[in-house]
This record gives sequence, structure tokens and C-alpha cells, in this order.
Amino acid sequence: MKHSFLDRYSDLGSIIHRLDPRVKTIFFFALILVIVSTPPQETVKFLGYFLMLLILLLLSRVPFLYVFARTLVIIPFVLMIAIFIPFFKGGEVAGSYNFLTLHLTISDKGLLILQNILIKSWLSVLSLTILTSTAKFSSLLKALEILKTPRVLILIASFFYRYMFLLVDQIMKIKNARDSRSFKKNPLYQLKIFGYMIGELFIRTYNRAERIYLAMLSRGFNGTIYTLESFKIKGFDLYFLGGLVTILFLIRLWR
Amino acid sequence: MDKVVEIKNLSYTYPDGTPALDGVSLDVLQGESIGIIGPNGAGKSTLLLHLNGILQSKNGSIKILGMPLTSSNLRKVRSKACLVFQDPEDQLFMPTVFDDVAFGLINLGYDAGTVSEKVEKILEKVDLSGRENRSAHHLSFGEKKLVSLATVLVMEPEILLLDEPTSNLDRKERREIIAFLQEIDKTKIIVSHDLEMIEQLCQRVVVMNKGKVILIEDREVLKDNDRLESLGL
Repeated sequence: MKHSFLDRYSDLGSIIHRLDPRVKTIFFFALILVIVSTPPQETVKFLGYFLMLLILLLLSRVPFLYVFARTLVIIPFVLMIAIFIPFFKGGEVAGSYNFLTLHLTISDKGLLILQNILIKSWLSVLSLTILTSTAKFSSLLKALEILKTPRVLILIASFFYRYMFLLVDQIMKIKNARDSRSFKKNPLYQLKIFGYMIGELFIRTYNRAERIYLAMLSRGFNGTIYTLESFKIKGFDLYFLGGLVTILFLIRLWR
Repeated sequence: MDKVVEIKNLSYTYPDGTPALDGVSLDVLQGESIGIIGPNGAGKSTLLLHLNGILQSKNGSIKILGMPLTSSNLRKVRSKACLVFQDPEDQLFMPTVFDDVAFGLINLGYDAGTVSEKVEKILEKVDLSGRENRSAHHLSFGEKKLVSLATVLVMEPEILLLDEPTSNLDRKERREIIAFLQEIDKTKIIVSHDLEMIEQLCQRVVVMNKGKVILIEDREVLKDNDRLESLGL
């Protein structure tokens, strides 16, 4: 079984794909910082960031709908946290409702915060989605490593990326084995089976980790993983980065 | 000829109390290929793990290239006697093929230029040039097996320890791996159920059962089906 849900379009070879991964990483993180630090009232600026992302996306030739669908994943999580803010924040009342004995008021300040959180989180996720769709995961990891991200985090991400696909395979195999023999529809019984499945998965994963560690030891592993740096920054990368960052700050500082 | 592996009276019990090896003695000569066969649970893989110093037993002794296995020369031993695991998913743990093949070399302390050069050369040898930046999960099973071999061959070991090199391969992939192994002229210790492959690659055969070596003989024994059956195979 083969999966490529993380970096499906990462080898398209567009102008954005060919940028040095470090340049991309720096730019998108700068973009996120700028987005997050923009005052919530300046709605036009968010439109500016969005247009910027849209142009980058068009240049990268990654299908818009694919990226868009993936960014929506974050919305439920954000809503779960932020949906109650308009009810609790003080300020001018934007609307009030009576449900039986319950009296609810929504404040304008609260609404602004909600809108702010939604827009900022969505734009940030959009940035990251474009970043991960235009660079191979392995080169992103390497870029982050060169940019001095703590090695432990890099290793966790790297092993996770390598073995996530196997894990999904294992889950599918266990699920198939269950489905091919499972006839009872009793939900409690199903839940019990589900518990066993998780246990089984844990044991398999644990055993695999043990074997991987042995494989690492047998090739001289002594506690630290080293990789070779293989990026070469080109003049174009620097111009691109310079240009984008300038535009970014123009939008941010414009009055 | 020189003895490259000397195992004397080796016994091992897993921490959970399962006995795995019981008084194993075996000498392997330089340049020789030896096949270790036996039913599942006979202790074949456990023996391989000892030869690379991953498992260490207090009972019995092992010498690799004349060096006893102690913590001080473990690194040296591991760079000379290299182990390829049965499941390539265990062997290939880095994000890209290049990183995986380079892993052992970097640990041996080679500089960046040498590492790149050696990796490139070995990938060419296993016919996988151009896959350097692929992730292992984008390779076919046969390719994964080949890369697994490459991760170890690149370290230029004197002794190759192979655990089931042909398991789960289709006929073509199996043929290719066997042909490839035939060309490698190093001491090989191969654990497998694939008797045909053992017959093709190895001069001598070791039969193990219940942690003991019950037979060491010329490969001709593999032609004698009745005898193999009487040995529990």
C-alpha cells in the first residue's frame, strides 16, 4: 500500500518548488509572524496577505482546491476554542437573545476577536499548507535543522514521517482482519474489539521501534543522528526572499 | 585460511527466560559463505545478533576477525561485521534513501565529500541511481531490500550478516538479489528458509534446532531431502 497524503504535490518542479527550502521556511514563518501581529481592525491587510498567498499558490501550480480543502481541517478546532468568546467579552452589545431563562448577549469586541482568530489561524494554516505542498518533507526537515531547530524535534518529526505510513498500513491490516471475521453489530462489543486493536497496534509499534533501534546500533549509532547538508543557495533565492519580505513589510506597515 | 568468525560454546537466554542458544560453536573462514537453516525459533537470528554485538552473552566467547567482543572494540566490530535485517522497514529509518545509505558512513566518521561519493557509487551498483532523494515508502519491496543491502555494503564490511535476504520477494526480485549477492566477494553468513538460495550461494550449511547446532556440512546435504526431514526441516 502506498500513501502520499503529506507531500502529494511536493515534486511538481514549479518556480516555488525549486526555491531553496530554507528560503521558503524563513519566508513562510516570517509571513505567519506578520499575520499574527497585524492589528485585527486592519482587515484590508489580511486581504493583502491572502492575495500574496494566492499568487504564490498559482505560481506553484498546486491545485487550489486541494490546498483549500486541507486548510479547512483547522477550522473546527479553532471554532471549538473561540466560539464562546463573543458571549463573554465585554463591550458594546451587538445582539442579545433570550432562551427560556437564559439571557445571552454578544459583544462587538468579542465578535471582532472571533473574526480575528478565524482569519489569522486560517491564513497561517494556508501558509503552512503551501509550504508543505511545495517542498519535500525531508528537505523541510533538513532546512529546519540548518536553521537550528532542536535536533530532538527534528528526529521526532523525521521518524514520524517515515513510519506514519507503515502505521496506517498496520491499522488497515488489523481493520481488514477484524472486518473479515466480525459479524456482531453490538456497539459495546465493537468497542471492546477496538480496544484490543489499539493494544495490538501499540505492541507492534513497540516491537518495531526495538528492531529499528537495533538496526541503528548495528550501523554505529551512538546517540546522535547526523545528516549531510546538501543545499546550495542561489542568487534567485535571495532576490525572491528579499522581494517577498519587502512586499510583506510594506503591507504590514502601510497606513 | 584465516578464521574470521570464531564462536565457542555460546549460550544465551533472553531476559524473559526463553532459552535461545545452547552451546553453539562455529568457525567461519575468510571468503566463505555459510548458510544457517533450521525451523522457526531455532535461534538463527539470535546468533546473527550476537555476531554484530547487539546481543552479548556472558556464556561462551565470540571472536570477529580475531577481536573478542568487548565494549571497547564494539564499534570496530560493527564496522567490519554488518547486519542486514529481514524487514527493510526496520533497516531504512531515515527520511531519504541517501540519508539511510549515508547513516553508517557518517557514524564511521567519513567527511562529507567521501560520504557522497561512496553513496553514489553503491547506489549505482545496486542499480538505484537517481533515487537518492526518495523516501523509503516510495520504493518497491525489492528496491527496499536492495537499499537495505546498500546501507551496509557502503561501509565496506569484511563480513556480511544477512537475515532472510530473499523473504517476501517475487521471483524476479529474488533472482536479482541472489545474482547480486553472488557477485559480492566477502564472507557471508546467511540465515534463511530459502534452501535453494543457500545452495546457490553457500559452500557450507549449518543446521540449527532448539538453540543447538545439530549439523555442519557441505552444501550437498541440501540435496538429500530425507536427511533434511530427519533433521526437523
